[in-house]
Amino acid sequence: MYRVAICDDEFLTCQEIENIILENTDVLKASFDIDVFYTGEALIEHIRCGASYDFFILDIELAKATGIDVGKYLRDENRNFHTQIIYVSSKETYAMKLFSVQPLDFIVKPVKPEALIRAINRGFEIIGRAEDFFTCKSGKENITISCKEILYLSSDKRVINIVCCDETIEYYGKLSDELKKLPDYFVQIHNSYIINLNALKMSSNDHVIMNNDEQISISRKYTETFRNRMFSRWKKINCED
Amino acid sequence: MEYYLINIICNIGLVFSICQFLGDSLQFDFENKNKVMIFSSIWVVATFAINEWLHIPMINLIVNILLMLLIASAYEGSLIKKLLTCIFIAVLGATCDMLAYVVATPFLKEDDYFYSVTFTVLFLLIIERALGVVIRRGKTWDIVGKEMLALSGFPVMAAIILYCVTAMDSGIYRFVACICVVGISLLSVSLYNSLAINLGDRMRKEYLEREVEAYRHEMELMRISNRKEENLRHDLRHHLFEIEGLAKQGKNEKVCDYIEEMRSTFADSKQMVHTGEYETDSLINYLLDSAKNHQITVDCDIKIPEDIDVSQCKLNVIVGNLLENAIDAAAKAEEKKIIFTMQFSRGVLFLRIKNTYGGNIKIENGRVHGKRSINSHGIGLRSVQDLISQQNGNIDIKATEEFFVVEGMIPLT
Repeated sequence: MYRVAICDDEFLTCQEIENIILENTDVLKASFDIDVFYTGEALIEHIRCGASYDFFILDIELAKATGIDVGKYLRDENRNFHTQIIYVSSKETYAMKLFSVQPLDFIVKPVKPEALIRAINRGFEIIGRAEDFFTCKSGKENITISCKEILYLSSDKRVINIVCCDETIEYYGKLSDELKKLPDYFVQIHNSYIINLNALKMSSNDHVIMNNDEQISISRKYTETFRNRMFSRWKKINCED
Repeated sequence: MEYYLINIICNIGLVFSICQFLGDSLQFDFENKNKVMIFSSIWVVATFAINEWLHIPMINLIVNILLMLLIASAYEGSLIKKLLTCIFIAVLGATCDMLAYVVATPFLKEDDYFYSVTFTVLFLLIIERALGVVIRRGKTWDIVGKEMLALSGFPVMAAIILYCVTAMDSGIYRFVACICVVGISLLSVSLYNSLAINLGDRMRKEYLEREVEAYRHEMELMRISNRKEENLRHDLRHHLFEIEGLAKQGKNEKVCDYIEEMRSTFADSKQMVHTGEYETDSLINYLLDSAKNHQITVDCDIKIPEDIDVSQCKLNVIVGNLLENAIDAAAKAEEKKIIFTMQFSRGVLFLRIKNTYGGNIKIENGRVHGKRSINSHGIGLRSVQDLISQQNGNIDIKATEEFFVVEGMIPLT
């Protein structure tokens, strides 16, 4: 069951989006629990109270708190990078600041079913149909972590740190051995770092910025591997025909 | 031994010039590369053997033409065109033979006359070069074409001077001849340099012309769009009155139809892309409009920020060339289709152009081989590959039976 929040000040648009999703559960091969909000403030308040969603379908132009504000709250204050944001708008142009909240897609109104289905399917590719888990042994304790929580793994001599959104787990191990246990969206970019491509905020030729705003250098040895993996991940998500 | 060696080497030179001639007038399909190699080898061995065995000029000529036809069978074109080309090459070869004999006779002993065939090869290659420049440039005798021909003439001049040097006794003449050779070499370097500059200028001019045309096209789109907007504003009261009437009668479906009709009238079918980034919009809309003129179905998915700096990644050069190639290839396909995707994500620009194509395409080590006409526009796929690599990006080229696909990523930060 995937949780979806629709937020648009137009009642009819919300209804239309909800209908498209509910009428296409067979095509999407998933079931959905949908909440509808008519203001950005109502959605932000709901998140503040602990609600969590897999998808946000947000109108960009809302009365007070806009779709960008909701996206920024989700990413910057709620530190939620798992929820996939799909923006809907009557406009076809998008400012750079919209891209800073890492949206999954933009859909032009009126929402066409095929565009929304394609966007949700792309979201499934990123968040995964089944949750991936990573297991490690810290002291005498076996710890299982959901891979979506992991930002990166770093190593200092024999000590490995798993850096998650809100905690860091330390244990003894070898980074190269851990890489084999991780899903394909984890890639080594330095002798001491393995990053989660889904937790990437920004990348350049020599460094990456993770969702927690930490900057990690890409060593020359791993530059090509990193680029190839970024490229193949984009192709997998966007170009699978 | 020397006789056989010279003859075989010259025959290889001759078959090379024959293939060049055939390539100028017929279409070469890369799939038939091996066939051409095999037929050319047969030509080299068979013409030499028949000549040695029979020594009858008429039979030599007929065998020569028949074997050339065999090579021409690996090219695409009508049989008449192939036959005429082969006869033309054979006549030209015979003329060059005679010319070579006249030129070489004063310098050769009777036993060494077979050396004259080297001149035949040389003359044929020069004529092919000259014809090739004219044919390939669509018979436009431009500055680059002239320089190319002049450049091809330098080795010939150097060879003639060297030949004269060997025939001279006086040391001072040899010295003067050597100075001439050095002069020619220096001239060729400077000519090559100006050739490269000219080529660069021409490419820039072509690009600017396309950009101006794209801007003009975008202005036209904006004018049409403004006029439609004015008309809509003018008729708005009438439309609202109509919709209100239908709604009061409870004809919901008709209301929807009416609104849909208004929407489609207002939507500009020519303005497919509207990212807000003016340079990109104008170029892509212009090219996609040209695709539509070729009856190509275009599916576009472009999500880039309006304030992206496209000049820093030479995006328009890359996209322009890729789209031109795609239009050129899709126009020749039975089902004409282009799917164009461009996305900005996490500081990286990703793009994908997928198009149908006609004929055969083979990809080896990232290089595309096909008919000459494919990939003939713009600065070409190879240069796009170089541009993307310069910016630490990646590019993938692949072809399925139905589609030709180029995928690229360019880091922008």
